[in-house]
This record gives sequence, C-alpha cells and structure tokens, in this order.
Amino acid sequence: MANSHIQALNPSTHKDLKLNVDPLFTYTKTIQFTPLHVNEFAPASTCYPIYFIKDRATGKLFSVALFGLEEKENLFYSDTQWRASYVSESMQCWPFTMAKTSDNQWSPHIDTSSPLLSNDQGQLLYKSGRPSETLNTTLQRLQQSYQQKLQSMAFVEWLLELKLLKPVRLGMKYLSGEKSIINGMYSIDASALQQLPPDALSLGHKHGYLAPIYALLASHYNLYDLIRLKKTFSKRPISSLQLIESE
Amino acid sequence: MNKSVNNIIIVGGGTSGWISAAILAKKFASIQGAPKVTLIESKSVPTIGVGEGTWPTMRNTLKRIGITETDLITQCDATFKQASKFEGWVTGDKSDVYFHPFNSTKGYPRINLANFWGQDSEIDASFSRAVSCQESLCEQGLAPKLISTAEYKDLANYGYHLDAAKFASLLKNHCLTKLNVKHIEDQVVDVKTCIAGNISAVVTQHHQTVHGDLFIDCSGFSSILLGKALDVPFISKQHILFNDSAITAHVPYASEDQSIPCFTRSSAQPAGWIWDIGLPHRRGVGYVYSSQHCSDTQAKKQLQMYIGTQSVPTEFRKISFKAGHREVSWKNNCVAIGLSAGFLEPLEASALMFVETAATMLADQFPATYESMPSCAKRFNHAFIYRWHRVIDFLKLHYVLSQRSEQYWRDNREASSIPTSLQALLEDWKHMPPSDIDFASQLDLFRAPSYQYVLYGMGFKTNFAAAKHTLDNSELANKFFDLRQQEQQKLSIRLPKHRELIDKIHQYGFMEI
Ligand SMILES: Cc1cc2nc3c(=O)[nH]c(=O)nc-3n(C[C@H](O)[C@H](O)[C@H](O)COP(=O)(O)OP(=O)(O)OC[C@H]3O[C@@H](n4cnc5c(N)ncnc54)[C@H](O)[C@@H]3O)c2cc1C
Repeated sequence: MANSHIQALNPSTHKDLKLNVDPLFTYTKTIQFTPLHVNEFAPASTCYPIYFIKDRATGKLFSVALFGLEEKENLFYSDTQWRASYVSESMQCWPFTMAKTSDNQWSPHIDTSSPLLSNDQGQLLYKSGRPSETLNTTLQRLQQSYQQKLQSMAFVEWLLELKLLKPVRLGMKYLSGEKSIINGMYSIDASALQQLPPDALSLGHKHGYLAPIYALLASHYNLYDLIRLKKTFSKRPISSLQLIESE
Repeated sequence: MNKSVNNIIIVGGGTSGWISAAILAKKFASIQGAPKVTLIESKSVPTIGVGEGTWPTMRNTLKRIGITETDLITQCDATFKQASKFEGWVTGDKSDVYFHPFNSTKGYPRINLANFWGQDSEIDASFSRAVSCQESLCEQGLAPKLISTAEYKDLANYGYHLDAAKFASLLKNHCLTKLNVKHIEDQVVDVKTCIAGNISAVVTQHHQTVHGDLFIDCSGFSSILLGKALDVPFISKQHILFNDSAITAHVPYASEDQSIPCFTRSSAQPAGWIWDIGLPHRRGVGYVYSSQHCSDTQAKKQLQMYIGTQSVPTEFRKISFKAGHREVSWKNNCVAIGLSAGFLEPLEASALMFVETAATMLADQFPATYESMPSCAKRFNHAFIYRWHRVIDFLKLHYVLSQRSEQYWRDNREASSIPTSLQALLEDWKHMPPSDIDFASQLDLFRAPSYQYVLYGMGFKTNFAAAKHTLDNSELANKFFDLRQQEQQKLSIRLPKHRELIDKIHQYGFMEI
C-alpha cells in the first residue's frame, strides 16, 4: 500500500490505540465504490449494483459495490443511517484491512488516519499485549476475507480467460439537461455467457462461479434504486440513466 | 491455368518475413483447406537488424496476429512513441524545433484547424501546440496511456520504439508456436522458373527443392526472387533522396531510472540527420547521411559529437542502402514485401508500416487461384506505386523547406531534385493549407495533418488572409481549440511518466479489456 497511514498492525506500536464504532460508516461518505468479494455477491446484490473496476496502480480488475453515480458520491451514506441492509465485509472490518507489507506478504493493517482510532476513547485494541476480544473477532474476519480475496482473484482470472468481461458505459442525463458518461466499469457479458461451451460452464459450476455471476447480473437492477436515491437526495438530480452499448 | 494457390513460400526471416507470415497464417488459421505458409531463412545471411521505430498501425497489426501488448513491451524492450521531434531542420539554431505528433489535428477530419490557426494572431505560434496536446505531453515526459487502459487502446495516439532483433524473434516464436508456420532454416541458392515466368520452386543449400504456388520475397536488399530471379528493375530515387548510408550505435543511460523520451528525436546534421530512440535500458542512435556529401569517418565523428563524452557508445555499425524501389512489387507469382521491394530512408520510420500494409493487403485480397493472380497483382502494384510516389514527396518535403546553408541542404533544395508533383502541391499550399482534397485516395498513408505539421513546423507560409472566405465554421473551430485545451489539462494530470508506465507493464501487464 502506498498510503503511509496504512500500517501493519503491531501490538507494541499500537498498544495504546482505542477503537470506536461508527454505525454510519462515515469514512465512506465520499467513496463511490467499496470492494466486494465473490462470496458477498448474493447478499450485496439485494442492495447495490455490482461491477468490476480497475485498480489505478496495477490495472487489475476487482469487484465492487457501486454507491454513487459520480466521482466521490455515496448515495447510501446519510447522517442518520446507512441506506441499505447489507454492509460489506470490508466496511465492517474498517479501519482494519489486509495489505501487503514491504516483503510482499499479506497481513492485517490499520488505517491510522481513521477517526475511529484514538488514544483516549473507545475500546483498547490490546490488553496487556494480547488482542482484545473485538480485535480477535476482526482478525478472524480479516483472515477469512483474505481467503475470499484470493478466490475473487481466481474468479476474475477465470472470467478474463473465457472473455466473459466487457466494459460498460452508462449515459446519465441531469434534470438540468446536462449529460455525462460513467466510464471505467466492467461487467459480465451476458451474451458471451450464453455461448459458453458446456464443459466451461460445468467447470464454472463446479467452482461455484455461476451463482455469483447471476447475482451480479441481477444486481444491476439496483441502478433503479440509485436513480431514485439520486433524485431524492442529490443536489444534481438526474432524469435518466442508460446503458450505452459499446462498439 | 485455374490452379489453386495452396502453398505460400516466404523467403527471408527478417521483420518483413515474419510479419507477412503471421498476417497470412492468422488470416487462414480458421479456414478449412486454406493455403499453408512456409518460411525459409538463412542463418548465414544476417537480417538488417535496424528498424526501431514503428507507426501506430503496428498496434492493429499485432492485435490482429494475436500478440499481446504486454509481450511486445516486455519481450522486445519496447517503449511508446508519440511523435517525432525535429531539431535544427530549418536553421540549425537551438530554438529551431518542431513536432510531428501521431495525434491528428484536433477535430480532423470534421474540421481543418489549420485555416483557423493561420487566421488567428492570438493563438500559439507553434502549429503543433495549437492543434494538438501531444507536443505538451511529450515535453512533460508523459506516457500515452495508463496501466488501467486496455491493451492497444490509448489516451493519446502512439506507435513503438523497440529492439529490432528481439522483435523479429518474438514474431518468429509466435509464428512457429501459435500460428503453425512451417520453418526451413537453409539458404536459397537457386530459383526455378517455368516457361510462363512463374517461380515453381526454390532450391536450398542443404535440404531440398521447395515447391510453392505463391512466393513472397522478404530477402532484404538482395531481393533474390523479384529482383534477381524475375529481373524486375530497381528504380533509383537517389536524385531526390540523397541519403545512402547510416552509422548506428547503442548508447547507455547515465542511470537506470533516467527518463525515457516518448518521441523519436531527429536532429538535422551537416549532411543528413541523426535519429535518437529511447528504449528502457539504452538509446539507439544513428546518423543517416549522403556519402556524396560526407565520408564515413566524418559521419562517425559527427555521431560521436552528438552523443557527447558523457556516455560510451557501443556496437557501432555502418549500413549502406539505396533510395528507390522495384518497378513493381508483384510479378507473376512473386510478391516482394519489405526491403526487397524498396527502401527510401528511415525518416518518419514508415518502412515497417509499408510492410504491414502490404502483407495485410495481400491477405485481404489473396488470390485463390492462378487465374485471379494477374488482377490481384495489378491492384497491388497500382497501390504501391502510388504509395512510393506519395511517400517520396512527403519525405522530400522535410528537406526542401530547410534554410540550412551546407552543400547537402542546398543541393536538396535544387529544383531538379524536387519531384514536380511536390512542386505543384507546394504551389497550391501557398494559397490554401493542405486539406483532404489533396489526399482523396484511400491509399494515402500520410494525410493532411502530417503535411501540415511539417509545413507549418518548418515555417511554410500559406496566404491565410486570402483564404478567409473558406472559414465558415469558427464556432466549431473554437469548440475544438477548447477541447484541445481541456484534453491537455486532463491528460497532464492523469498520465504517468513514460518510464513509470513501462516499469508497471513489466510488473503487472495490460488487461485485454
Ligand atoms: C538505417 C536504417 C534504419 C531504419 N529504421 C527504420 C525505422 O525506424 N522504422 C522502420 O519501420 N523501418 C526502418 N528501417 C527499415 C527496416 O529495417 C526494415 O524495413 C525491416 O527491418 C525489414 O527488413 P526485411 O525483413 O525486409 O529485410 P532483412 O532484415 O534484411 O531480412 C532479410 C532476410 O532474408 C534472408 N535471406 C536473404 N537472402 C537469403 C537467401 N539466399 N536464402 C535464405 N534467406 C535469405 C535473411 O537471412 C534475412 O532473414 C530502417 C532501415 C535502415 C537501413
């Protein structure tokens, strides 16, 4: 991780840190996407449109839940409550996350810039050098989430290999008449999926990839919800959102 | 004779041979009963080993034959090329520079911004800066895309700089392992022709007589099939383009992380010009000159002076060539592609683009039978005679607009050395800037924007004031000037440094989508 405030978790450096809970997930206020692992597609598809985007630093694809229709927009955040029933693993773990250390190993990290961490308020992370119960639960969760991350990466590789991914572009019209285009998202190509040879399909089934694929495709109906939220809460309401078929 | 064409024999394993083999084999890969491709090359005849600059067309070519951009970048030490920067071509002064970017002038072909640039005294005096953001991107050392941009897609137009030898091996490897091209490593020592004048077979030193239906001559300057066996005469163009020699060298970087220019530097010299191409681990430089105007020793000195004393160059090589081309590229059942068909000089690095265009045309209009061969040949020859003619005009343009005083440059401006077609165009352009009307043919490889970049980069004067009546759409023009400005601002922020992107490609690779 390039951010210097993401630090590897360490009982001695972080022995005085205390953790608070934030049911509003304020850190996502200006975040348009949150990473989603493949095992989360089914529950997440009840609330959010699911897409793939590219990591800016590496160009690699990973799956996300879409929170907003423009940069830095999160239509699910409000100062009274989170506007959806499902909350992703990565949000539940925050400010803890898995990241690479300098020797290229994945390990638990914390975002020290998070307002949820301080020296004066909340629950101590460590008690006499040993992780608190809450921290322990979170660490277990991170560990599982890391396994899910690996599976999600394999899932993306499989999709790429079978050429099942395609770029999507959404054309948005504001009530003011202005137009803009949402670029940089990728989805599963439903017609390529239709033409998949039976043996590839059965292999996908064996890996448990078919359920998340259909969940992802169904999740796009949540765009209606995003349009509604944007009409209701945004300063720049829109009149329409349309899929632009690419070349 | 309604014999079908089943066996294609390519002689020569340089870049042209392997590109041709790949394009044909790929085209036929999924077709039942399609012709088979065999390539014969000789270890004892070396390839030319230069050709480090490509056109943007190479992206399509590689995509078409199924080589990933990541493989190209990582296996051929390739970098990106967004432009040529011409230094000292007009006066030789330090401030004498202009760019020929690969990006078209903004809004082209919807609008011809040259007209508006010429009218507007408030606009940037540099034509290329006014009509394209690419000069600025080049000067900032930026790459033409992001690591997250799909392979072969761009944010600013680009071709490549690459290691020629590694490029030939990548193509070869791909042809042999993925495209089923048959490979014979042996020297062709004899060519058998039949009464009709067709080549029936080539005889190799150790192996056998290799029969074929269509022969592709990729044997380099020796042109052993088209030139030697079929006697197609060489049409010299040395009275127009004087350069006939090159001294090349590799120059190490001062440090491993030195920035890599994203353009070819091309700097004018007393008797020619020097190319300077940045690869990840070294630069490739070469002085292209006229032996009539400069001795080899002088040329080497000149090149060393250019390199300076800071770095120690290696691998000096001298190459001789003749500007010109075969009277036709296709005779009977033999097509020449690459140096065997002709070569002018490396200026604007268009040789490989000619190879791509020729091989693609051959594949797309492939003669199914002997009967259809003459009409295919006629079309092919028509296209390439036209293209040689046009590219000669375009290359010569770079020389006739110079004001340099050395003998070489003065000789280059002698009216007798300037094709009448170019003279006529220059006369037209005094009154009106180059436009699509001047390049109406599908076959034109260099179009109005390229000519404009060179003309106005070199200070050519068009009487824009007199052409005022042609300005019917200044609103649209302003829109495009604004767009150009916005694009420059946006890209300057988003694009990574050239070397940074190259490093990332080595680490992560590009995505296909
Ligand atoms: C100084 C210079 C700079 C250049 N710079 C550029 C540039 O920047 N960009 C660009 O696009 N182009 C450039 N070119 C042109 C470019 O190098 C060539 O177009 C390209 O390399 C293709 O060459 P080729 O394959 O036709 O010939 P070669 O590389 O000469 O290959 C000829 C092949 O034929 C084989 N052969 C010959 N005789 C026999 C025989 N009897 N039996 C069997 N095999 C035989 C040889 O073994 C060899 O494999 C440059 C050329 C020169 C001279």
